[in-house]
Amino acid sequence: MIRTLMVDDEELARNALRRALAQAPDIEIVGEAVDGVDALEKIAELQPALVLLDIEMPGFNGFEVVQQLQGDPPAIIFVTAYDEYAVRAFEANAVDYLLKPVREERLDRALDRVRRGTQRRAADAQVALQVATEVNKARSGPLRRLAARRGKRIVIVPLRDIVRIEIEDKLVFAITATERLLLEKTIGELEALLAPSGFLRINRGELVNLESVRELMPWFSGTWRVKLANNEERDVSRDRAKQLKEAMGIE
Amino acid sequence: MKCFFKWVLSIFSFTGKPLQLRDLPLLLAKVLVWGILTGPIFAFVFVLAEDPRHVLNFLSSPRELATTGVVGAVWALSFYIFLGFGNAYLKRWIDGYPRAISFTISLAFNVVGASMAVLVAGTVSAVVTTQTFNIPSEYYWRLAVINAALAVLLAVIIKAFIALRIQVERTQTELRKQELATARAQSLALQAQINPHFFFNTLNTISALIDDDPAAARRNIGRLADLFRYTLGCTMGTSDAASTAVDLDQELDFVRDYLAIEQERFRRRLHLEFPEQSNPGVKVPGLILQPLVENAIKHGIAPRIDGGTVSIRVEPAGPNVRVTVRNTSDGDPLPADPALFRPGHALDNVRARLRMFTGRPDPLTATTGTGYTEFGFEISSGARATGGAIG
Repeated sequence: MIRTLMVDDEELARNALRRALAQAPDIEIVGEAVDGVDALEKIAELQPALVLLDIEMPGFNGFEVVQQLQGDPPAIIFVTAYDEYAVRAFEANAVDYLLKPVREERLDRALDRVRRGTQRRAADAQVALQVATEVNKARSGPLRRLAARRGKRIVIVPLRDIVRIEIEDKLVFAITATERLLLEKTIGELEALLAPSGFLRINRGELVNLESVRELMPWFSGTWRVKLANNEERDVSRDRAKQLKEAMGIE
Repeated sequence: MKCFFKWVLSIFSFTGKPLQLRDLPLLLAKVLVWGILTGPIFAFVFVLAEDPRHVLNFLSSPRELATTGVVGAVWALSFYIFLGFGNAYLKRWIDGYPRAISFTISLAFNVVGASMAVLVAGTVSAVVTTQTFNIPSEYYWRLAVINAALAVLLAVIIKAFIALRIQVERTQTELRKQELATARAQSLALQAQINPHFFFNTLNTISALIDDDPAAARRNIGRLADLFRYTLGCTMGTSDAASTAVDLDQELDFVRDYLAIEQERFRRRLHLEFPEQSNPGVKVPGLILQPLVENAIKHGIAPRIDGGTVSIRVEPAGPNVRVTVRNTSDGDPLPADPALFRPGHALDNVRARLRMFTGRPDPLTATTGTGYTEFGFEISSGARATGGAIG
């Protein structure tokens, strides 16, 4: 049985998809999510093998959900009613997708691919992430929100609220003006994901939001120090200082 | 031959546009050709008037014909230089002044210019002709006076011709402008057609409803059909621009259907508020509300997990009515004007069409307050409405 999560904000769309999936005997629907945040929570909680993921959703859209998956990602089939640009990107990269209203033969074909492709799932997930990033960037510019964990709940943090991101005891935290939120990605993943949104790595364990940098002062032996919007001062390692100064338009 | 005359005559077809330096040689060539053709004709008339017996002599003498040609060219050229050039620039320069002043300036300029032209051309041609034709010197002044009289007569005729020509061209330009405005209104209306997203989403909704609630499926197919009928009526009804003006009530009914379908999709997430009163006589451009409503759903409902409210209001505002579409919003400030109304965007289309319809430069207002975003426009309440007034 393929443990499957359905994600769509529209009740009717979920009903239709549920009925279509009922025809496939090896598909077990383990849950349904109604928006992007719900999807991230359910994926983490239910660990499905397959996610049928709507693109246009409140909270995080489908692409943003893919961008924020962590750990061993499930197989993703994107579902959209009309998105020429995304569909072109899917075609070009052999990413699985379905068009709503879903035709049964198309659904069968996509499911077959999932059934046969369990061993290349990691590679597929990588491609899906790339396409999601690319399409999302073209549609709405760089990522603007991030999923973070507050206790058991997943919350949406606007990136402009995050002053910096740091590692502490192998856990990654986003620091805002008022709180520390747990992020479930590695600092390396976040560095790549957030670079287009104006975040820069300043040392082994920290990213800063360039928007929140207030002062930049020379420190000892080639290192620098930044003063952030919340009055914290952080060290900038020697090899990162050049990039930081370039990003700030100083050199 | 016909072509040649057309070319020569085309000297009169100036439209008051600034003279281009690269056109100058061609223009001078035309003036010269024109003078060379008319010179002998004037001379012929002159000879006929003076002594009809000399007509045959004149026509058979290449030297005399050539001389009159040269004289004609000198007249044409001097008149062109003293009056034609000046008038072309003068016209643009005096346009801003009151009529009396511009008339006086123009008159003074033309009198002085004409005198100068007559003086120069008259002197040159008198000298040339008296040499060629062996005319005794006592005829000298008579000749000059006749020449000048003929030139002035010609100038009056030409002036009248030019005035007529300009009139005709102006009318044609006006007509072309109106046609362009009509075409633009139509193409804008065409662009305003319903977003394909909506079409596919609706098909999806209906597809699901067929099993869940067949009656609702039927109802929505009916709504979709009405929507498309209305859209087609607004965009390709007739070629008349006025046909893109519809009753506000009709447009509101259309938007009600549109939102009813969206309600089927968003369910509890979408709350709607409509105006209750009817608005007889109020006309709006067809499909003007729908993009605003679509925008409200896109920004106020779709991205919000808890959804929100879209409210449409129609309120009296002096001689006008004010129509507003408001949606709940996160309180994010609206982007700057150029981003909001970037070309090709639905809002830009709405603004352009309202501009054409109302004649106001900035007819569409956008406001954000705490928790809402609102787009609104004012439109004549129809007290003096005369059908649709586009262009």
